[in-house]
Formats: sequence, C-alpha cells, structure tokens
Amino acid sequence: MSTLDEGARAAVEGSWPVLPRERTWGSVALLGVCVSASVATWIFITGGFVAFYLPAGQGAITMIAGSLFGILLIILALLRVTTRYGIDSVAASTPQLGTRGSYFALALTYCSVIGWNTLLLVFLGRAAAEILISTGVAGEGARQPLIVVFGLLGVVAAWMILRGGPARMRNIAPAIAAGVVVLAVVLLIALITNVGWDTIADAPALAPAESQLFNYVTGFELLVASMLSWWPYVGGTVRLAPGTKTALWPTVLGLGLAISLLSMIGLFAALAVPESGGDPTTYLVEVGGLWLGLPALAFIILANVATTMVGVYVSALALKQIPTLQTRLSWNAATALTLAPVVIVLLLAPNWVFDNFGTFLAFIGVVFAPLCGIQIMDYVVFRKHTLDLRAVFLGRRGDAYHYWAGFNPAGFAGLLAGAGTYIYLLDPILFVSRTPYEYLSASLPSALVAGIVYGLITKFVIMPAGLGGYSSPVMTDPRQASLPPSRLKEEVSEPTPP
Amino acid sequence: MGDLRYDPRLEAELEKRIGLVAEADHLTEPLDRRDYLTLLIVTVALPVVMLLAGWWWL
Repeated sequence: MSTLDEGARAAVEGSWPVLPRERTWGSVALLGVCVSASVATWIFITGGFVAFYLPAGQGAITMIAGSLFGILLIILALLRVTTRYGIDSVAASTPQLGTRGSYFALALTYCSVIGWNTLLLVFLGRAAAEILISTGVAGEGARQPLIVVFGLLGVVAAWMILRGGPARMRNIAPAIAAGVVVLAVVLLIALITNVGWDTIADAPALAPAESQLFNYVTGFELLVASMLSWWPYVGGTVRLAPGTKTALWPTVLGLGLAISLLSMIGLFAALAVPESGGDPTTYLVEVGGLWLGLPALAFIILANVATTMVGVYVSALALKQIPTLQTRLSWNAATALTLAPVVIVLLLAPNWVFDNFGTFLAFIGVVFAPLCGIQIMDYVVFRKHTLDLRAVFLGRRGDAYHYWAGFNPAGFAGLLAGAGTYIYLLDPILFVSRTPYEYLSASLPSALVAGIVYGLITKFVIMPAGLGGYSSPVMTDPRQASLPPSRLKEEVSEPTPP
Repeated sequence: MGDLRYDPRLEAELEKRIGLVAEADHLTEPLDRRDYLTLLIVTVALPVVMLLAGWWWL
C-alpha cells in the first residue's frame, strides 16, 4: 500500500472504484484468496450438516452440484459489473435498490459476515482449547472459557494483521490456502486409514427425514445457500482483479468447486465419527494422535484467522460506503467496528451460530437468493452489465438511482417476493418444506420469482417513469458515465475512430 | 450509495477516478460467448447430470 497515493489508498481501502492499474490480483493470487477464504473450517461444519440427511455418495454429489449452481447465481449477478468498474458488491446493488436502499445490502453483508466470523472464531477457540486439553495443560472444565478467550484473541490477531491493509491479505492468502488443502488431504487420509473407506461409504445418514427426495434436495439446497453467503465476499475480492476473464475461473474453482470438494471431508468425517457433527476439533487428536492432531489444530487456528480477515475486509469496505463514515472512519476503525459485534456474540452467546447452523444457512438463502435474482434480471437483461458510476457514488436527488426517496420499489418488491417464495418452500426455522421444494429446492425458485417481479415492475413502472437511468446514453456506452452533460454532447457528436 | 457530502477536493478526486475507470473499460476483459457456454456447462449441465445420476444410481 505504500506505493499508492491518497486517492488509490482511499479506493482500495475504501469503497471507491479501483482503477485498472491498481487491480493487482492476478489469477493465482485471486485463486489463493478465494481458496483460502472458502476452505476454512466451515467446510467441515457444512459437510457435517449434510451428513444428517445423506450418506457419502449422494451427499458428495449434491454438494458439488449445489456449490456450482450457487456460484453461478453470484457470478451472473456480480462478476462482470464488479470487475468492470472495480466496485464491491454493496455498491453494485445501488442500481437495483436505490442510493439509500443499498444500505439494506450493507446490513445483510454486515449480519452475514458477523455470523460467519463468529462461527470461525468459535472454531478457532475450540481448536486452541483442544490443544491445551489434549496436552494436559488445561482440564476439561476449562473448555468453554478457553473457547471464548481464544476466540477473542483471534479477533485481535485478525485486526492486527489487517492494519497492513488488503495487500497483507493478498500476500499471505495463497500460502494459507495451500496449507488448508494439505490439511484437508491429510485429514482424509487419516480418516480412511483409521476408520476405513468401506465404513465411511456404507455409513447411513445421521438423521434423515422420511422422504428420500427431501433429503437429496436439502443436501443440494444447503450448499446453494452456503455458496450464496459469498455474495459480499465476491465483489470485495474480484474488484482487485484486472478483468472479468481473469476473475471467472478462480471464482468458480476457488469458491464453487473448492468448497464442495473440501466440504466432503466434513461429510465423510461426520459419517465416520457421527458424534463429531463434522467438527474436526473433536476427532483430530483421536483419529490422528498427538503428532498429527496438534499441528493440524494449530493450523486450523491460523487458517481461521486468515478467513476472518477476508470477512472483516469486505464488511469494512461495505461500512465505508456510508457517506458519513467514508472519510471520517479510518481503515483500522472500520475493521474494529466490523469485529465489535463478533466480540459481543462471542462473549454473550458463543455457541448460538453453531447450535442454529441450519437456520443460519437457510436465512442466508432467504435474503441473498432474491438479491442475486434481481441483480441478474437487471444487469443481464436490462442494463447489459453497465452502470452509471457517478450516480452510484455521487448521486443526488434526481439522479438515476435516487428513484423515490433513494429507494427502488422494484428492488424491494422483488426481494419480498423472493423471500416469501423461499419461506413458503422451506421454513428456515423448522426446516419443513412444501411442494414443489422436493423438485426445485428453495434458493433457485426464490431467485427466479424475485427476478421476475423486479423485471415486471421495472418494465411497467420504473422505465415509464423515466427512473433508473435505463434510457441514458450510459446504458449503451459506459465511457459516457464519467462525463458531464456538456462534454457528453461533444463526445457523442465526435466521429467514432476506426 | 449517493447523496454524498464530500469536501470539494475529495469529490474532484472521485470524479477523476470515475472518469479513469470508465475510460479503461476496454481493458476489463468482458466474457465472450465461449466463456458463457463453458460456464453454463460447468455450473448447470454438469451438476444436473450429476444430480440425476446420483438419484438413479446411488
């Protein structure tokens, strides 16, 4: 960051569009960031949760399919526009939700990241507690206090490392990613060696529902919903890649495929050691002995700090979208503000996210599936992946994305319709489904309904009212976005060079 | 994210930045038809085949 001038620093550390020359994350670095973000210990929890419904073979298939479907929704919604303009996910939601309405996306980002970071840091605490208890340094009775203390230390470590800015994250991410993959492979080998592949392959699901179709679709749905929680992360990271092509396959492979492949280890572990629920901290020492268990637990601690940093980075970026915070809140204060709610949850209810993981995932689907749906409809069908940067960042009353009082009713109607569809199909609290959930799942129809409602209202209300910038020249030539009206007229009248 | 109340210096900096980003649009590697086709094969066709195969054979 030391080579950047003040404006670049504000853009990279803040929410301003990143210039192409500042987008320094190539395919390898981006793949490293994506993999290191995706393969933290939540893969074990997610895989372990699928084991409640499905055995190894069907679980593995639904997990890969769900991850790939989920990442497609995010890619269609965000990838082109965030890499094209160097903006993050929340800024990219402004045309659909409105200049003030996009704070709703900010709130979703904030809540989602708080949930995931709490999960990670409790995991970190569990790993540290297991090390101390396995080696006899602490007794079993100290487990819960140790989880909280080490979770808090993880918060401090993530904040301290992020003081170096996002460049620090980029530099260490690939190494962490490689280490996590090695850990996962070693875990798999240890499991197969100790328990036997036949035992894992033949193990029944832990607590399946009566309907086999429900179990199968739920395995798929859990991974789609889990993947949708990457909505805030994707914009925050791919904006630092130089182009859409560079970002495409690292995103598909680093998030979509990596998460599904490595979550399988959580699935297999939960089937092999049913009481673990896929939590490796409970069986690493038991399965691998101290020589494998302790280094692996230590590595989980390191990996979880790295993943927490990515979450803090994207939510700090989102926080700095708020005009009053943009220039008044320092980078360090923004990251601290992002971590503060995690500290509160760690102190008051450290196991809440763990104990309600299925509900947490379903709520992710309830809110992010419709959001992807309206963005896909808007960017792919109406705007052809263009937006007016001036209206996003400098928009004022009367500008393209101000709509009515800063809110786009089409966006919020789409979100409500999509969320209603999801809740109708799958109750996120009771996990009870209604037809046609068994055939369509919940996230995909939710995104579809949200997109259709958004499209209809946009076509028949927003466009006729002249709002949203759909009739502006910017829709056909993004270069015009930066030009004032007088200059725009000159540019349009100039002959096109051969 | 509009309705900003920047000071004029920062607003000018942001205007300049927005202009530079828009001018460099041609460098941002849009996906072509082949990219989209490959993406759809990998993220839609392949998962559908896998799901059907998993349901019928496992």
